[in-house]
Amino acid sequence: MTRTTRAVLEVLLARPDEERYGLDLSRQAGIAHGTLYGILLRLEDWGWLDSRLEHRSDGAPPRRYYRLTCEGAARAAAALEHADRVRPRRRPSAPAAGGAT
Amino acid sequence: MTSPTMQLLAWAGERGPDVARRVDRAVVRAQYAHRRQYRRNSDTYVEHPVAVALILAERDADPDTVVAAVLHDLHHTTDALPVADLRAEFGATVADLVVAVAALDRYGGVPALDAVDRRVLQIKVADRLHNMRTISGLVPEKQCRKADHTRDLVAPLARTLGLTELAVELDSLATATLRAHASPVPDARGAYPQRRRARGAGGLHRALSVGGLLLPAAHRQRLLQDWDGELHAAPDLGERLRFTASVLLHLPQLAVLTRRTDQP
Repeated sequence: MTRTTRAVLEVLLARPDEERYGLDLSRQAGIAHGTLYGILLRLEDWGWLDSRLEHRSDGAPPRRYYRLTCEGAARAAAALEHADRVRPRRRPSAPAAGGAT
Repeated sequence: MTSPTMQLLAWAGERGPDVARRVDRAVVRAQYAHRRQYRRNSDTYVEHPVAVALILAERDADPDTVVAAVLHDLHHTTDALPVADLRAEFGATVADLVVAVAALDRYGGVPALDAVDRRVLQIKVADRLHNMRTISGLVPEKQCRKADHTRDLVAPLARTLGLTELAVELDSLATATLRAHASPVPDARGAYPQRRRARGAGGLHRALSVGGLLLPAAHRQRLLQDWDGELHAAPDLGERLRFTASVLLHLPQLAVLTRRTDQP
């Protein structure tokens, strides 16, 4: 699993019931907008994500919202767990012993 | 999850080798005839007639109706299968049903029940149901027209044909669509709000449209629509510029990704 896919899945899994839009996802995952859409399309193809267009009352173009499917949430969690075992994420280093409490 | 095509073939297999052979042949014909066509939501076109046939199969329609449903768009969306060939390959009943569905499409209204084979109307109801399930690919004006027609004519027709479950779903989809596009309210001077265009979004959308030519047709329209939505929702011009630059920069990578068919 690529670093970027991992980042997107982590953001989605943080609030699995919530609908998210592209700009929000790319900001939170810390990845480029351009990278995000390939990932979203593939996750949707795999059935991990559902999406819908929300039409706006001011007549502006509709915005697409994404949400993990039930199956997608389970498979994403399993995939992240597997990825963690194979290649652990870099975590911030622990505070030095005797530091401020 | 089993694909609709596999579900349809499984249904046909349970009805004996003759039905299995005919449905399989119809699916192959439709896949070939629609091979370069896509729906507005970017699905390959053949997913539509297969889904329509499956809706009918799940309600125990007779095999001729199911085969005709698989072939129902061949007659007027492609020139792949002349009626004589249709008749020779699938029999007179299926050919007549396919031709009658196409004639009904040209007519546009709902005919008197005794003027048309009920199986033709069943195919039309299932056709509309699948179109309503996938309506988000259409522009809002067309969505509203379809939803109006569905609520006023097709859902009542489904009820008359005894397809109550389909009628309920049609009603519900039509109502949801009409609500989503509720008419704008005029202001105090009686003027209706104009379609809002965010500053710079038009030019940026054009740039994305040109870049989008790199993408496969199956995904292009969907992505351009999504990006247009994001451009208009972005809080300011700076964000819109950053968004467009990032998408354009990664388009070659996206073009490769969207052509890959790997599984998780």
